[in-house]
Amino acid sequence: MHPDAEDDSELARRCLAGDEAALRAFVGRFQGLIFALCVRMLSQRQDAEDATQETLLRAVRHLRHWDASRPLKPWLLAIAANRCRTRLAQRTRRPLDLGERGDLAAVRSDGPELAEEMQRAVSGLREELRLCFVLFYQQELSVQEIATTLECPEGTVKTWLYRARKQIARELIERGVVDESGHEVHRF
Amino acid sequence: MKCTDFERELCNRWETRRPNLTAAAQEHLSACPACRGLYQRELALDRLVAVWREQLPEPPPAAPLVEALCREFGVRRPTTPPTRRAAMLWATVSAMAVLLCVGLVLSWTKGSMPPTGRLVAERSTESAASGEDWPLTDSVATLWDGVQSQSQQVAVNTVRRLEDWPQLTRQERWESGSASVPSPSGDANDRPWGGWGEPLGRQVGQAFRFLSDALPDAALSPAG
Repeated sequence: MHPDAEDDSELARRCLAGDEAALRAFVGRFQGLIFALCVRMLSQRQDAEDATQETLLRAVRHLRHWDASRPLKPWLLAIAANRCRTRLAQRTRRPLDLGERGDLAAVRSDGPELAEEMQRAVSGLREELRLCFVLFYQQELSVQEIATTLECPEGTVKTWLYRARKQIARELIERGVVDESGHEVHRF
Repeated sequence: MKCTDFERELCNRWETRRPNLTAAAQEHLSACPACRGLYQRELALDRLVAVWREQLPEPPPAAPLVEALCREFGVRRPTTPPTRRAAMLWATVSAMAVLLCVGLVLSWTKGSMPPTGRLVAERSTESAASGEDWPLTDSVATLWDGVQSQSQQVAVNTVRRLEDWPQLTRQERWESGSASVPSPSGDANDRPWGGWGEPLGRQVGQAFRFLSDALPDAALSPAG
């Protein structure tokens, strides 16, 4: 059994028993992780907060279906990824209005401009590539863990990561953030 | 190493999060300007990714989420902040406990204090008239009070009552032939009453000795 899984299974058992302290601990342990994935995937704070809440509610509701011999983190991230996919699909049917775009800008203003440029490039990735990239670089999951989380072969994960890096590098060069020789252009 | 091998090596490096290139890749790098440019772009991307990863927005506060989870799963929660309620409860219980302790101490102190003065005389007289026994501590206190108040009648009553106790006959407890000057505070010749323990036995002994020496024999006779 994974070392974290033992601890996680005890926490899950207490959550299922309706222990408020356990629910608090559950949120404390996983909220930041899930929110990080959601905000990177959705690039919009309010959407990310809603997706985080949905993920945690669904996770606790379905905790009895979790395989306790495995770590909880990839299982939760898979739920969060599904919530993000659903929200992204809803967005394609309903384009962002002006207010939502304004909120998106507010999210990016949290960091320096280089990070904003990076986030813009990440947001431009196709959904699978973006998810793969965020799980690898933001959540620091291994290729194998990503394959488990997304239920796809490791080779596919490697391909998606390669394409994501290529696309981001190209976009950063096109926008003049990095020059052809790989040097950052300090235009800010 | 060929350029395609070098590119594969670059992929292996970031897939495994390895910071450095292999020796063969470094050798190729020094001889190939195109791959050097590619490697520089890879490094620049790594630096930007590191900056991007660090600039993560703060997650929302956990409390509303916990609230939502508790609602969802029917967990009962207190309606007022628990710390405030607990503090009020503790303050009330503490105040009641202090009052109870003070009351107990006061009642115990008052109950164990020997009666003095007029009250002693009245109780002694009433007791002699009714023939009922007082508790031992009251008897000793009455004795001392009678001695201090110099009231002969009180002392006589007290001695008579003590004489009525079958186990405390004067002959048994008194050392005959003592000619020392009577003293309320006693002296080295005072003998404690056996079985009464200290300091009670010694005090009773001192009191009887003083009374016996101070009072006239007629006062202690049964007819007196």
